[in-house]
Amino acid sequence: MKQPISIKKYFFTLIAPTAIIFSIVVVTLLLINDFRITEATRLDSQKLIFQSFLHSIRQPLIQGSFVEARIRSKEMLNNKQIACIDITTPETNIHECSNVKGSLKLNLLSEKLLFSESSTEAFAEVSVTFDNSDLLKHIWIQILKAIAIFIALGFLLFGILSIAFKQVRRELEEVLESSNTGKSSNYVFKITEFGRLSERVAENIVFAQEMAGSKAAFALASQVAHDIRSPISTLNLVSSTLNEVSEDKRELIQLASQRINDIANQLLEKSKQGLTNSHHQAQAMHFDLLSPVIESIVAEKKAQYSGSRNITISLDISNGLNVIGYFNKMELLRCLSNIINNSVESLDQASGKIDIRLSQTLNEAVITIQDNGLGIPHDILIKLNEGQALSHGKVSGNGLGVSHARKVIESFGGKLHIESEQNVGTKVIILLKKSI
Amino acid sequence: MQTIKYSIFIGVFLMSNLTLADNTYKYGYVPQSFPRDPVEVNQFAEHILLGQVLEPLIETDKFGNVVAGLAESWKFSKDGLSVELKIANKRKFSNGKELTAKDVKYTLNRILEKKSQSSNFLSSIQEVKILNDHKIEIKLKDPNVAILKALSRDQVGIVPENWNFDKKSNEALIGTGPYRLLKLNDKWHFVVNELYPNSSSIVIKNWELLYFTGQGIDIPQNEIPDFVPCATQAIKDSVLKLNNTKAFEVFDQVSFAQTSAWWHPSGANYDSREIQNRAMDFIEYAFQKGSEVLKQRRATGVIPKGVSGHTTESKLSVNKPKINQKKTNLRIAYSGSMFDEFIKQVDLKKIAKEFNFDLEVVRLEITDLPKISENKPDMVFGAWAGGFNDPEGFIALLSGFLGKDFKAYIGSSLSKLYLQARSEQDWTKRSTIFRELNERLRSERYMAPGWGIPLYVIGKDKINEEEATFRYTPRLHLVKIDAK
Repeated sequence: MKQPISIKKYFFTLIAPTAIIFSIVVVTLLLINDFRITEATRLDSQKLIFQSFLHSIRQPLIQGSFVEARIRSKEMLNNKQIACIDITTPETNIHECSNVKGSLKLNLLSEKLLFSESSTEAFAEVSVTFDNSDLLKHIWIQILKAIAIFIALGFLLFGILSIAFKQVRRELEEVLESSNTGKSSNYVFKITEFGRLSERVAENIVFAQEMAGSKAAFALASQVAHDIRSPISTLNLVSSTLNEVSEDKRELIQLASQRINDIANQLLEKSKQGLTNSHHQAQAMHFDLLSPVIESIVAEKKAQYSGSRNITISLDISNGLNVIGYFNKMELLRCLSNIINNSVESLDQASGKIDIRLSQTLNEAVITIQDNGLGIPHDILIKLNEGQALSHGKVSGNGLGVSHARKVIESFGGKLHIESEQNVGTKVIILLKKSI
Repeated sequence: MQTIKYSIFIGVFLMSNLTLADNTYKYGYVPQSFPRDPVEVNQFAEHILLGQVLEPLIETDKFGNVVAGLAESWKFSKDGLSVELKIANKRKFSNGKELTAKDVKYTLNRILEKKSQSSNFLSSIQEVKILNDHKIEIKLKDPNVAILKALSRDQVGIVPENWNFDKKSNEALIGTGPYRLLKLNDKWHFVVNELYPNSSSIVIKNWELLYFTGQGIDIPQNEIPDFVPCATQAIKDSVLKLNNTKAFEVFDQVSFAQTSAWWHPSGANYDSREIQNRAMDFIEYAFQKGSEVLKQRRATGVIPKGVSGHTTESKLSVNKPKINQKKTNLRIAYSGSMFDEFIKQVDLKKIAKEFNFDLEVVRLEITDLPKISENKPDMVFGAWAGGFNDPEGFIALLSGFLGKDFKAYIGSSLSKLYLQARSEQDWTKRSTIFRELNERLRSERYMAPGWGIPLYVIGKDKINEEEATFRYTPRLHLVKIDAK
């Protein structure tokens, strides 16, 4: 059986780490792009600052006013972006620096000042070094902030989702688990559609299993039916010539072989029609006297079990002689046959008693099959009454008999109910519609 | 035969006029005194003409910033007491002579020896030494921030060694500038100097100089100028009356020109503090009236607005004395025509009486300015645009105007301030000191500021000159003609 899927495990091992890593990468790339744009803008503005400084320093330098040039250089250092200013002339050198303690990102701009536009001779060379290390610090701070915010948001979101969807998660697990096992269960649906889908899936799994079984069974039945017709014909022929057997016994043999033949024909017919929903196969039903049907099956069973064990099968139809019920004869015979066989199987090895009774109420015909066998455990009994196909401790039972009988009876519009007590016995009650 | 002579004469005349008419534009206006020896030039209208023919060692761009001129590079000594200049190679004067260091030394010494307005600007120069054919060293008496600007004046344009001014010559000035000053058909012209670098790019090859009709600023009525830079209001009004005004375009020009009045050392009342104060009160009052009547901005001091060290306060409170019977004689002298309109519109004599003065006003020709002291005025009116865009450009020329060394004129306290300002290397502090000097010259009644003199550029609508900004004088070789 498959293990149910652990959502929590799935979330923590795959989804969350992937989402976190992906988001960190995206945010980092965005921040790096932002840094590049900021840096480019900063460099452009620094070019303007540099040109502006050159314009202001030119006249003091060209007129030999180096004191003024130094004053203007010092004033320029009030701009925090500027780390150093160097001015070189044939007469003097001016070197002014602010207190810069190591820098990771410097931008050096330098230009020679010419005496005139047409001149090639310079009267000064001016260099300004800009310190852009604040940009690097800024970007690192931004990245760390983004990561911290993201992680905090992630945990907050996960916490909220965990609390809010705890119930949903539990139901999801149950739904997934039940889908794997094929059983349905009742849910307080928070995910209604998913629950409905799950129930449909469970039903379909059950149906598929039944169909699979039915298909195989039909195939087998078809084969058996086909094969059995020949020996049945032989049996019928031989039984008609048995002079040493009494008339009533010859009649029993013929009835039994006829029933076997009818069963075989029905099976063949069903297999030819194909495997549609066996629950809804068209049934030929009609109102008919119940007493002869019951009498015939009881007679059959008496004859069947007369040689083995001390089993007494009794029939009481005194209150149901004229009861006309609504049923299909062959199906009803089969049901009764299976139920009586179950009763026999439940009897003690040494002896047992099966009482079959036909009676009626105002609206219904009532057939009861009661034995004094081992009884059915209570939990099994509940499931049998719910219509589940089970087998409990029976040597040869396939569990389908009672379930099939129930469905057949219900297809007649009737009901089937089982009462049982362990070590006391079991009573099967069949209620059929009655013609008034 | 006579017919042939006349034909030849007419032919030559026509040919010369055709030559002239080809790409010849008319420049307005030129004072009657021009041309003059550059060392004697003290009029704004004259020295802008010098600037078209002569080139100084140092140039200024249109923003007033120092750039290389005939000196293609220089370097200062660490103590600021000397500057070594490298003279441009392969430059020639209009007469074909190659420019050398000797020509520079000759020119500078010529100015220093003359004791003129120009020499005042170069008063900090101690010596000019030739280092080689194309290198000179100028030694200074004291560090002077403005020395390079002083060397950029048009009057300090370099002339050939041993050249002397000859008014009778057909080429009265010899320089390395974009134009030559030539007399053609008895008229002075600026003609392109073919030896000037990139002379082929000069659009207007020939300027005919139009003169004022007299010693004043009256302009000829039968001559229509093409281009009139640095025109005063009166000249502008006259020009626009000449022709359909739509034919001309007028632009404001940056102007540092302004008027002022100075208590003069040669006056009879010079030593009287009471009269000095009363006279300066009278002039402050009169000048305030004058600026209102003439609708001109009142000046604030000897350093004009826009130049480092100027003051912002234009008004000074004056006290009118009680009128009494006894009047003091007061003589005021001025040269040139700048005050003619003021005197015409403001009744100075009447106002003078309110300050207990009997006023006498003496008008001199502009060329007689150096002789103004001979008239022994108590007060002189002056109008100038300064030498260059620096406080020194407006103060250094005062010595010639006042007939007395400026430092001696202003006394020891202000003299100390002046010297401190001249040698200050921190430009901000220098400006602050000059501002204090500027304020004290007025508050201690040495001078009274008059009004600003707006200047205009007038040109025919196809004339396109460079945008007039802080360059002191126009550059005719940069004037273009629009194609449309």
